[in-house]
Amino acid sequence: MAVTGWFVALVALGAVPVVLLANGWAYVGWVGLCLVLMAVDAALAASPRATSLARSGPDRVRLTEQAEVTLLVTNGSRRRLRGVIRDAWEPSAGATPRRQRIDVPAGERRAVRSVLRPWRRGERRAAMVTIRAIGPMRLAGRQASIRVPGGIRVLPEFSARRHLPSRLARLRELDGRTSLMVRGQGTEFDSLREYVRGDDVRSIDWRATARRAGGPGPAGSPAPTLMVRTWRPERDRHVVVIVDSGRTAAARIADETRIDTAFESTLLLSALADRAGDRVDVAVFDRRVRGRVQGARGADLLAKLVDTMAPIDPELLETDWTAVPSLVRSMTSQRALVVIATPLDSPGSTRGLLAMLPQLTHKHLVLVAAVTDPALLSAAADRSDRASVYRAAAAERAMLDAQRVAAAVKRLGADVVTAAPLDLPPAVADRYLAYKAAGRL
Amino acid sequence: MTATSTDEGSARGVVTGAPVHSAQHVVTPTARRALRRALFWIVLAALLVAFAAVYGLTSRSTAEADRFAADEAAPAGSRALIEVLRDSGVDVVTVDTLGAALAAVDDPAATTLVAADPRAVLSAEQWGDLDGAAPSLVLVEPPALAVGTLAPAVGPGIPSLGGVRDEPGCSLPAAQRAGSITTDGVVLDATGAASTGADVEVCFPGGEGEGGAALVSLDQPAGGALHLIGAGGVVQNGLIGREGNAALALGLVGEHPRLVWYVASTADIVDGATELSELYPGWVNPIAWLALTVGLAAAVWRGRRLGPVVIENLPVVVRTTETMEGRARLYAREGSRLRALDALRVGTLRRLAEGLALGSAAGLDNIITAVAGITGRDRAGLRALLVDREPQDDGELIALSDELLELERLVQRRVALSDDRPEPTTR
Repeated sequence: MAVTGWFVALVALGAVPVVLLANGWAYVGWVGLCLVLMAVDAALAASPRATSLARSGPDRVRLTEQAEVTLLVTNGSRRRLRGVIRDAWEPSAGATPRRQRIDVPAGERRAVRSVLRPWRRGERRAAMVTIRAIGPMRLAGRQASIRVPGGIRVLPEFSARRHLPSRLARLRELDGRTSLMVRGQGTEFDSLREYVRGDDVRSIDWRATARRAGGPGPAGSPAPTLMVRTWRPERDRHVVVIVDSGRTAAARIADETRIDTAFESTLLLSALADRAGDRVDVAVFDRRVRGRVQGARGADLLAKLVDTMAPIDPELLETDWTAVPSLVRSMTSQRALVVIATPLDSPGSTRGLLAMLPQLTHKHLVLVAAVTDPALLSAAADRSDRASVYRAAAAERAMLDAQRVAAAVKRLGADVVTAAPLDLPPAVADRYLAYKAAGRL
Repeated sequence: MTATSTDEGSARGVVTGAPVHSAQHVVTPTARRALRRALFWIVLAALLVAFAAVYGLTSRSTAEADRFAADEAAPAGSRALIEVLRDSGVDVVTVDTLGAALAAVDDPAATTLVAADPRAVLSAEQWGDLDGAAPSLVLVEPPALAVGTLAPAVGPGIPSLGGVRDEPGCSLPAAQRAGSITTDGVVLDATGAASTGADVEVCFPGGEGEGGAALVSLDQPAGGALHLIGAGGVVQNGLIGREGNAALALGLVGEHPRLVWYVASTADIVDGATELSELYPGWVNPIAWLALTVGLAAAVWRGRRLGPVVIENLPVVVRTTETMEGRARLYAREGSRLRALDALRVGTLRRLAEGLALGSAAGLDNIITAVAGITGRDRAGLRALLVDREPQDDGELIALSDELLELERLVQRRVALSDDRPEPTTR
């Protein structure tokens, strides 16, 4: 049951008979009349329970993008269904408009469209659909909430993909498709081709040139075609990314949780490494494996990654670092680049990581990617009054702690990349390219 | 296209396929089910209302007792006295209006008229009507108007301090028989009346500072005896059994074979004015009710939600700067100036070493030498700033921190000027 504003106006209209008759019975009679009209109108409204509802729409949407979802309302009653409908999504699904008017003749079907602009990653559900059917006099109506399953998976934004083209260009430079690449450590023989003007003369392969020219030709024959060797970086290396989803990953820096930054870095690194011909395996871990992508290549890799990452929120648990070496062993048997995305804050909170690192570094190349807080830098620079000087001191202290941890990690043979949230993904990608160029993979 | 299963709380799996016309489930209960669910509470509320109504009707003791009422069994009533008088053959008539009281005195020679006005509703004129109505007029706790009209020589009653008085102090037989009484009620200052020499009996006069007498007996202006019982407790159920209260009450009230017991009620109010309801038009009350009803309808209109609120589990928000802020407040509260300054100095030294490309292994002396070289400042002063000085108060701490910042900027500028390397970053 629900009443409309018209019903309230109708009751208020009772002032006319009450004043004219100046009698308490006029009031009683008018209110009684209103109640009767309300009951009749509600009884004449179409039953919202008789509708059948069906959803359709995309099942995935990238964060910051929008998706249109359709709700098909079939009026199963013999009366015209007129009223208001609300498709109740979770608030962070950002559904607009919240409520819409509907008018469905008896036995017919109408589509109700709403646009989702989700502002949080993960699985967003539609809780229910509420229909308020108003009677023909528009005084009162019937209302029912109907649970219709529905949901949409909001994928990570991957805003770092704007850094991808420039990194791919750098990769191509490494790749021997341009002639800048010379023989060096970490490269492997790619092909022989004819010399073109501008090639490094040191890369001329005289033996191949001689073989190409065949036996000594007749005098006066044109000069033999010179052959050069081209080189390309080693391929089919293995990159393992471990994303820490423990309690420290829940911290929010510059309006982005650390785990989101870690996901952005992972996505950029995976896209780049995949193009470079390396295999990428990713695991999200706190005390158990929350998500794992292995053996995917090409376009499939990114799709699987975002799909795996979408519903993962940080757990308020201490990460079990002792289980990480065996996790890495289960993912790769050969030497690999192991990227660990975890904060390096204070010696206390990273003790487990530091204890575990030697097990990884003696076999693998380990890179720890940590987010630093730009708020610390700005706090350390602000010395305007007494309180801010003490804050600056505390910020310096925190930065010192982080540096000590980073130094400890380096002493254990691992590498460290630290950057502000927006700078971390390209920084990790650059470090990967540097390894690639130096042949350290 | 996809529909996801939405089992609350459990892990949600994604089912891919064609649009699913899944079994929809109406959450809102039907009117009948809602009624059945609420039945217990409705019945409970009805029972409570019924119980309250029955209890309110049967036990009036919780309500304010009518003082001096003849049928009131509460301590403030006077039913005990009335019943005793009836049993001993006195013809008792209880009335609650002045007119009825005057009419009830059909034998003016042998009637006692007891008048009490606990709500002070009677006017002086009405009190005047009582003058001479009966040969014996007893006023219980007379209000000031009554005293002023019928016994102008007596002062108005003032609240009594209570207690027991055992000195009748007068020749009135009833008082003599009573011997001692409780004085709860009012006391009357009758010294003025006694000094006029008229036939005034001042009984249970009380001592110095007690305000006056508990009972004053004198003549009505129009003839006949007038007893002013200030100590109203004497005739009330609660106290009539104490001391000689009963003797006094029976002696004063049961003097004549007929007793008219008059307790003034609101019916005695002289309504010179018309009814309040006649002052405004007849539709005002219904309109007020209508306004209330409209408000109620509007509340229902606006208050009915379009479906339940959708709840969503949001992740916790953890701020990374919390430890930093906490540590800063600790420094500030404990006044750890040296510790704070050392943290700032370490940061400055690190940035100076980076800016001067000294490497992280550079010692303090190397840094100071390099800074002195590039800025031209003397080493002792630099050393004092970077190592030795201890701040004595917060002002000094702020000054030192500003100096450190200034030094950093100066070195940064000099480095940028002196060579064409890009300005060093702090990262």
